[in-house]
Amino acid sequence: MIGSVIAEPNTQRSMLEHAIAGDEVAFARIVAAHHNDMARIAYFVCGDLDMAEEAEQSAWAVAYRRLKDLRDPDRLRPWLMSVAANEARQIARSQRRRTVRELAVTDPTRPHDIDHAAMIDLADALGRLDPKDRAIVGLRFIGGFESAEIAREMGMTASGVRVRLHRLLERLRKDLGDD
Amino acid sequence: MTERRAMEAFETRFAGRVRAYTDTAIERRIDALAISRNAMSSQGATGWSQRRLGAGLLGRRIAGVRWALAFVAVVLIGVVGVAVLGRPSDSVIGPQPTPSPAASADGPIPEALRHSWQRPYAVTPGLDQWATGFLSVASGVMDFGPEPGAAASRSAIGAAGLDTLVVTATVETKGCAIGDIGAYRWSVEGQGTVMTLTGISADACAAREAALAGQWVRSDLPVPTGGEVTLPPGTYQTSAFDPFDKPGVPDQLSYTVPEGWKVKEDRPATFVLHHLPDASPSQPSTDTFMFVFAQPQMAADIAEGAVCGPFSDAPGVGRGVDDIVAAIMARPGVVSTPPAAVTIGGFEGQLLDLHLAPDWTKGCLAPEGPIVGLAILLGASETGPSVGIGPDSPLRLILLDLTDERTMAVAIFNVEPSQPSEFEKQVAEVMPVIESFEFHPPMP
Repeated sequence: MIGSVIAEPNTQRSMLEHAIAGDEVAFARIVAAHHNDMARIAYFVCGDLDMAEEAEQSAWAVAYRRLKDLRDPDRLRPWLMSVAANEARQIARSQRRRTVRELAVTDPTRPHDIDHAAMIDLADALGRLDPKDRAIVGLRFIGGFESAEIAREMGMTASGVRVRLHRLLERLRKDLGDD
Repeated sequence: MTERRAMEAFETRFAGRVRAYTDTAIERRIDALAISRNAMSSQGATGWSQRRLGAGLLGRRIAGVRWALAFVAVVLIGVVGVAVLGRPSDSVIGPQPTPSPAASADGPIPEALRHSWQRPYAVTPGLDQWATGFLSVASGVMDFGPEPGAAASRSAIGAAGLDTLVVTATVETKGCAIGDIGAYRWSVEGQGTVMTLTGISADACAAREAALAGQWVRSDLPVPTGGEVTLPPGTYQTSAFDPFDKPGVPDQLSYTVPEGWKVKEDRPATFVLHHLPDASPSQPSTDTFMFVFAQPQMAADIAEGAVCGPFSDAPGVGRGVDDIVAAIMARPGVVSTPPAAVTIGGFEGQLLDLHLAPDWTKGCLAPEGPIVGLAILLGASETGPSVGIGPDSPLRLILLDLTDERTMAVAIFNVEPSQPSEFEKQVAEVMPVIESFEFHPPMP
């Protein structure tokens, strides 16, 4: 056996431990595993692809810095998504005039199930929400997290998230003409 | 419908809309390793300008990348230093992991690795059942697949430290997603002819690890044509030799040689290795030859006074192992040990040690005069080489039964007369090479 490092199970805990120890490959595996969630939530909050990319990149730097403080590996996904949402909120706020008005141009030759106009309506409806509210909605509908998990990551109470989500959904339902 | 149910239905529709809306954010390809490096290099920096530094890694080039790389280098030197010294970090999640040597992966790929490599064995479960594996390592990219030019998978590669490669999948293949990362420790032996890759922790793409980990043999060494090619110690494969009668299919036989061997001939019917001993010029030549014949033929008796070679095949003698052994045992002038059963590379056969009867005086007429001896075997071609015995020129012969229709012969002999003890020594040098044979029958 030439290799001195014995293969370990590719567990989340193992990856986290290696990443914390400075193994860029281990951290890259975390990036690869969670990029989609991070990209989706960042775009959902920003509504702009460039800002979302920037937010995600910034979120990875923040995540790496704070990774050692994550005591429960099972919280990795909601924690990462909340970091991305928070970075996206900050960027959206700092560039308020550009927020949530850009919708990516779609390839007209590519079939898509969802009506493009519906996407514009959604972007407009989201644009009328506060970035923090978009983060809450995104964590619920992209992350699939319960109110208690969202509350823990957003520094709120679970009941507060529940109430806020209810109001936000009522508003979105109305704005989207789905009532 | 109650209000509650209406809201639930809306939430279901809304979830689908959100997913479709955010699909556009995940269409771009990312370089997870570059993002990882950038995140690690961004420690401690704050503010908007720092955010802009890394933005391009998710799709575009960025300004200030040189500064970033310099910063990365400084950080990574620190990381590698920690790995080498084994200092613990301040992790609060469980015990300290073994530091990975893959902490830095932006070094140039060593020249020793930048070659074409091949597997002599079927080693790629999960990436289809390849008879052999082909690996091409260039400065920044690695292709591996079932055969040269048919890359089934491609990964970007970078060197980390002195002996580690980090590979990142750049195309999606069976079992591998784009961005999957693995780290491998490499070593090269046999003067660069054999490379060993050993996985460090688990590859994100298990199929790739199954394909890459293990030994690889250089496949871009020059193929001998007319002259001899010196072989550094290592494992090699034949290129033209065709024992299974599949013309044009290379690599049907692999073999391992120590120091001092040359390839003299690699043709469809004959493969010849030449061993050069350390002997002073004043000593008689003790060069040893190993001839390997595909589908050998029993040589015909030499007519009294005939010119030496080319020889013809013995009429009425079949090409099976038993046919040839029986013909040799029955030939006047041949003294043979009893046939001994052998298994080489998984194929069974017979081994004979032959020498010329002391009272045998017949032979053929060479330009320098009469030669006493007997031709024993010919290759598949009558114009090809043959092997025989003469006074003080014994022969070890191994006949292998490859398939119902195919036979292969391996002959060890000395070009010059030698003492029995000297020949025994030569046989002892050659047998490990023969015992290293691995056959790779082409797929039907």
